[in-house]
Amino acid sequence: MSLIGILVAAAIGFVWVLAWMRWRGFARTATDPEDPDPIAPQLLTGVVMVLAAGMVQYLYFLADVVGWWEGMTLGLGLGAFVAGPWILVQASFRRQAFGGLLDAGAVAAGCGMMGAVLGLFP
Amino acid sequence: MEYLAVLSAAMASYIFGAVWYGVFSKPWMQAAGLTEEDIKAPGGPQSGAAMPYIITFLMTVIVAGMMRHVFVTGGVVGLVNGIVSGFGVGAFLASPWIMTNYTFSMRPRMLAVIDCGYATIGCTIMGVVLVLFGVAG
Repeated sequence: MSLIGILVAAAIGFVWVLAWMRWRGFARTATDPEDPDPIAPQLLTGVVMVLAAGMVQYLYFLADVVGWWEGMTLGLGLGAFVAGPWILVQASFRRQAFGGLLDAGAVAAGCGMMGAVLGLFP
Repeated sequence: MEYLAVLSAAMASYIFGAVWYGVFSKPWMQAAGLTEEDIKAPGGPQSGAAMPYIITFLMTVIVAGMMRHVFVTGGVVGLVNGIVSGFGVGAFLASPWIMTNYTFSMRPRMLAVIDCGYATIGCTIMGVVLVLFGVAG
């Protein structure tokens, strides 16, 4: 298992999440004086992307996934069929199924990109 | 056999979800910013609409199927490995993405706790059921 792969994949996930949230209009910043939450969303995202990349790397290690193509396809699968569905389910109970579907799609794309990198650095 | 394993895993997680959100219904409503009227409004979870429940069951089957695929290709066998891998998938793969959504849309931390708890325990339960069926066989 490669630490470089985890860090590069996490960095790509981080940039993707920030871009996606901006596109969605969730422009929360760490410097908002009205914001009571002491944990900046960027910091939380950075930490959890390392966790996510590490978990995917572990699964790739178990399953001998090597190469960007194999990594990308399994990453897409993990995003679309493991992480994404939970987001869609929870959004649908808040009557926001459409937004949940968009976010789940973004998760699939993010996991696909991260998976490609993790396949390159097995 | 594999279909039975996937359906059983999905069913177990689905039933857990019903219990989980039953127990946490009040804090969940508060954290999600929903009122009694909202959840009884058309399409809401207590409106009599089947759609959120159908979506949930279908999605849970998809998660169980993908987890089975990963368990088979990764050679995950035995109760301990099923628990560890199921927990890992829920806590370190599903939950991170849920958290990023909630932190940027400024949702209360309690919503992340309840929803990530469901994903984490739900995936752990699915992992246990899948290895009990002997997925790698």
